[in-house]
Parts: sequence; C-alpha cells; structure tokens
Amino acid sequence: MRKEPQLSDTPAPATLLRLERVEKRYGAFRPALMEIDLCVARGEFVLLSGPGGAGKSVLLRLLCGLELPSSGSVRFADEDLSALRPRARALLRRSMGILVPGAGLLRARSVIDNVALAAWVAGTGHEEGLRRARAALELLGIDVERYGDASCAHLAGSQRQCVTLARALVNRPGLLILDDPLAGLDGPAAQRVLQVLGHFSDSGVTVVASATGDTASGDPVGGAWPARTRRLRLQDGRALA
Amino acid sequence: MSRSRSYATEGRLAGLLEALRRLLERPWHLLAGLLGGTLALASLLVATALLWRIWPPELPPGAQAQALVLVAGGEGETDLAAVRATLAHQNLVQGVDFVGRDAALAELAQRKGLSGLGLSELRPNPLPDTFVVRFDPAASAEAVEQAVAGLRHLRPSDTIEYLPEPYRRLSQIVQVGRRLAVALAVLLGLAALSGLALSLICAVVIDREEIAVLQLLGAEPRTQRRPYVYAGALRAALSAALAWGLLLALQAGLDAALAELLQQFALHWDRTPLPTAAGLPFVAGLGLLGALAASLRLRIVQAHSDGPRP
Repeated sequence: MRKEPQLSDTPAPATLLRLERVEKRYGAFRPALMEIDLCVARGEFVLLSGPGGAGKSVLLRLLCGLELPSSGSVRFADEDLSALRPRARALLRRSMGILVPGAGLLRARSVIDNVALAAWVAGTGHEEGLRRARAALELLGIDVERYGDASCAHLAGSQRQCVTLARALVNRPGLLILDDPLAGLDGPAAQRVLQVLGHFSDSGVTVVASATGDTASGDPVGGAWPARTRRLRLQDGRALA
Repeated sequence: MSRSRSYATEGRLAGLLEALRRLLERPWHLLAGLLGGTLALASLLVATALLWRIWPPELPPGAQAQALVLVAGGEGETDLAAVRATLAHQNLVQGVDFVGRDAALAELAQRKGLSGLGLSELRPNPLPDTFVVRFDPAASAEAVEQAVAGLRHLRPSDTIEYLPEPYRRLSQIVQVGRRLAVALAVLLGLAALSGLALSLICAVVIDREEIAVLQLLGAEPRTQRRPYVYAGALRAALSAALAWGLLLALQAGLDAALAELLQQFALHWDRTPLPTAAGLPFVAGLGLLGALAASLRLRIVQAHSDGPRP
C-alpha cells in the first residue's frame, strides 16, 4: 500500500540559510556588504569575525530579515526573504533567537518581563512565558529571585547582555543569530555563555554569531568557541577566503 | 511575588486594555492632550455654530440705504397707494414706509422746544407726504445711487432726498469689516485645525524602543499598532465628547444673553438649539480620525525602525 506523503515526511533542506551575491548599500556610501555568498547548514555553528565596521552586524540583520539586501538574495529554508511580506518575515523571526547588543531591552520593564516578552509575542501564555523566562535566566546564571523583578535600567552592562541572550533563548529557537554575544562579559559569564551556546549547538540548533577583535578567539574571556565552529572573516564588507 | 506585567499580543480586547494602560500610565500627558484637543475642537465648534446661527448676515435697518420721496400736495391730489406700490416694485427696493403729512406735523408739534410755536394749528399743513424707501442692504453704494436716479426719472415732479456720502462710507466700512471677519475666521479656523491635527498626531506617545524590540521579536506589525490606534481613537473621541459638552454648556449659559444683545442690534440670530444627537456622529468621527492619525504615525515609525541599527 502506497503511503500518503505527510508534512513530517517532507525532508527539511540541509541548507538553512543561503546568501547569494548579497550586497547592502546605505545611500551613496560605500556598500556595507559586497558579493557575499554563504551557506549555513542546519545545526552548523558559524562565527563571523572581523574588525568593527566589517559588515558583521549588517549581515546578521539580513539573515533575520530585519533588513533586505540591496541586491542578491537571502534565503531561509529556501524562502527568499525579499519575497515575503513584512508580516511573514515577522512570523519567521519568532522561530529565531536574535541578540543585538547595546539595544533591545525595555528599560521600564523588569528583567523577567523582558525575557518573557519574546515568549508572549510568540503566543505563549502568561505563566508559561514567565516559567520559560526563569529557566532561560537561570541557564545563564542570573539570580531570578534577586534580579527578576528589577528594572533593566538598573542592570550592569554584562547583566544586560545576559538578559538579552536569555530572551533570545527563551523560545528554544532552531536558529540563533547573535551579534557579539560575548561583548562586555567578564570571564566567568563569557565562559558560561560559550557553554550554553555549545549545548544548544550540540542539540542541533543552528548558530550564527559574530565576534569583534579579542572576543573572536574566545580565549581572553576564559573559554573557547565550540571546536566545530566554522569561521568566516569579514573585512570592509567582503568575505575573506 | 512577581510584579510582571504581560504584553497584549493578540486580540482586540487585549489591545484595548493595553491602550487604556498606556493612556493612564501618563496622566498628566493625557490631561494636557485632552485639554489641547478639547479647546481646539471647541474653538472650531463654536465658530461653526456662530456662523450657523448668524447666517445669512444682515445689516440693521439703521445701516440701510434710505431715500426720502417727498410728495407735494394734499391727499386726494395724488394716489398715494399707487405711488407706494410703484416705489415698492423698483430695483433694489426692499421696503417702503409712509409718513403722512398730518402725522409728521403732529409729531413735530409734540417735540420739546417746538410745543409753544402753535404748529398744530398751522393751516394749511406745509409738510409733504413722505415715502421712506429702504434699499437692499447687500447692494453697493453705486447700485443704490443708480436706483435713486431711477426714482427721480420715475417721479420727476417729486423731491427725492438721498445723501450718498454716508452710505458710501458705511458701505466701505462694512466691506472692510466683512473681509477682515472672513480673514480672521480663516486664520482662526486654520489655527484650530492645526491645533487639532497636532493634538491628534501627538495623541499617543510612541515608545520607539518598544516598537524596535517587538519588531526584533517578530510581533506582527498590526499587533504592534493596535494599542496605539485604540489609544488614539479613545483620546480623540474623549476630546470630541468634552468639546461637544463645552459647546452645549456655552449654549445653555450664553445663548439667551447673546440673542438679546444681537436683537438689540437687529442682527439675524437663529434660536434653533443645536441638535444634541449630532454629537454622537461627531464623537465617532473624531474617534475614527484619531485612530487614523495614530495608525499613520505608527506606520511611519515602523518603516523607519526595523529593529536597532548596527
């Protein structure tokens, strides 16, 4: 008897992210990105490195559909992000964990609210969102009893970075897009973050992270990027071989 | 105990509750906005209501151009009724009043200072019968002068008294006054409309940081807009309701006094009360306008805020 094809039987494409001849321009300035070709397989850990202004953050924003390329294509699971409507791109981002350093926490809200917000936006119930937020914060070593109800305006820089990372992890996403996740972290905190990312990667989560300067090696903060990390160096908007 | 506050992500009721929370979160901002919106709307409403009541504008009889047609000879020699009818049908003539020679003499005799002169016993009565011809107050001074010339042509034997200078001056003053009033009304209207637009645009405080974060987390654009749109609609509708109430209060308090004052100057004043039921569509319309303004503003913010920039 012939088996009817079902959604679960459809093989997921091995390539999760594919960038082809991507260029990104802002006005008449030099392109922020030029001729970028990149394939990221499911479960892969990719580290973008390079000096400030190399185009790492722009590339990550293109990957999560916050911006669209000026030319070329960015595909997520074979879907061209430029062809999707803003609503569809927004829904797609719910399946990602995104970290943008230096911004992204609502200062007026508490730590737990900030982390749970990602779960609530994704449609999780109030209590379940809080439960997940506590778990994510504890995973990153944040004392929930002490800091959970504190306003994010009163957090130190490294704590804010950990809370933002916890928010990226709260929905247990299949893809993590992390812009300089070790920035501003002290040794033990950075080590813990690297461990957590390693665990996520081992469990099949695709990770695309960036690192600037001395955080690219991981060594100065007391830890190292996972051994199977594929490194891609960017400079002046171009990918170096 | 957690003091966490959920975020309304789905549903209209949740959006409405979030909108109420946003409005009440900054009470002073809400009060200032309501005051500004109410005053701008009330100014527009009061100006419209005044225009509605006073339209069409009329000049008092004292300001109308008048000519006196003096008919010599006694009654019986001239058919006064025919004269009156002829005059009444002439171009620009709005009305004709008759002052008989005997009545005029009796009035003169009763005046203080003239009572001792024995005017009432004067025979024959030397005064002429008089027709007071009132012209259309909307007519220009030149047109009235042409009409008076037509009267002279019509009854060449009669004396027609008309002093063109006072009416020319009055006409010029009225024209300047009308132009000034129109300019002032346009300026006030524009100012009130600008105030209203500003009030609608600034009706809600947009948290750009929150919008950026929500976009980053994948909140639907429509869901992000909903609380702001509801807040804008609520505030505009509340301002409209307050402005309507203010107008009704003004009507109740000042209408009688204004009507008396204007009647003293013989100006047209429509005493029909404002239809109270018209307040409902007014409030609903303003609410819709507030929602549209908030939605438009949110769309602009969303278009320029695709999450935090690198």
